[in-house]
Amino acid sequence: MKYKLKRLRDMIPLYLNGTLGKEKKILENSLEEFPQLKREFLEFSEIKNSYKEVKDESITDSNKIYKKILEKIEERKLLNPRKEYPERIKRFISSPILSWSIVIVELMVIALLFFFIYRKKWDIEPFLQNISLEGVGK
Amino acid sequence: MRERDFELIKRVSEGDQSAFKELYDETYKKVYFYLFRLFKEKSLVEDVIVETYTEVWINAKNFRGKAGLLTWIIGISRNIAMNKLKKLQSHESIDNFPDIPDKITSSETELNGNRELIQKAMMNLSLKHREVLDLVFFQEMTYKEVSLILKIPVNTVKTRVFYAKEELKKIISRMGVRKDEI
Repeated sequence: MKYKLKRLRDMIPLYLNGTLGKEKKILENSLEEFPQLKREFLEFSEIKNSYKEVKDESITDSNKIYKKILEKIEERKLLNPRKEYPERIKRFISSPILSWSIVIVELMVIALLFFFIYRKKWDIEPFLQNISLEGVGK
Repeated sequence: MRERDFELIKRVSEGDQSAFKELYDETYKKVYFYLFRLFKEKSLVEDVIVETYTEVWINAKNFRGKAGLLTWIIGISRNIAMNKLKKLQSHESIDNFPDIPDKITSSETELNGNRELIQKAMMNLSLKHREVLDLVFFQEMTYKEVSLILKIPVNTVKTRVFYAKEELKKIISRMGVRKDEI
């Protein structure tokens, strides 16, 4: 029961701010069943209603702040930051030819690396064989 | 609404200034109120708003739609405001307050139905409690949206809302107002 009450209690603020969905009815039906829940409901209702008293006298003129925002953006040179590339370059960048070319170049680099590593290994192998043979002779 | 959010922010990310103005006009008042009720300092609020919308312009392309546009913008404004306050060293981080373990409590004081009095008492609430009540009851956000702004789990939001109410009741009681005086 405590679990149920806790779940129902959590629904109250959402019910009052209008974001509670299908569970609305469940909460409404439970209010009479649990007096403690009803008291919580009334308290939250009072909090919600108190926001009607919030006045907007102190609000600064929005256009004045908007001007400041534009100045700040201009200051940071952000108003025209998006450099438009010519259509030909755009098409080239997004074409599969470029992607495949990159893959091929990468494979060539890997192949070259392998070639150099293994060539060095092949160069020293006969030398190593000679050493081991001399050791056996003695 | 969500689809419209995407459409609007997409236009902003493409550098459409009229879309930016539209977005500003739609959200300015709510962002202003959120910050003003939180910090009560007009000049600070204005500075934060200017920085917030500059960030919105820069980061419009990064909007993923995890939350609504207003939630996203308020989240940005909160980060900026907190950083400013830390620099000024004039506040205690509001997330440092421990949350009391969750249980249904019944306080001896009742909220007494006087809206103005409740609002006055609310301005004496701790920052973290006032903030959570504002987001739920004034900005009319869901727990999920509030959790995204405050960067805390949804369950913490739920308990925080209830403890905010309890603190409010205690403040009203300390203000010494009895029901029959209203």
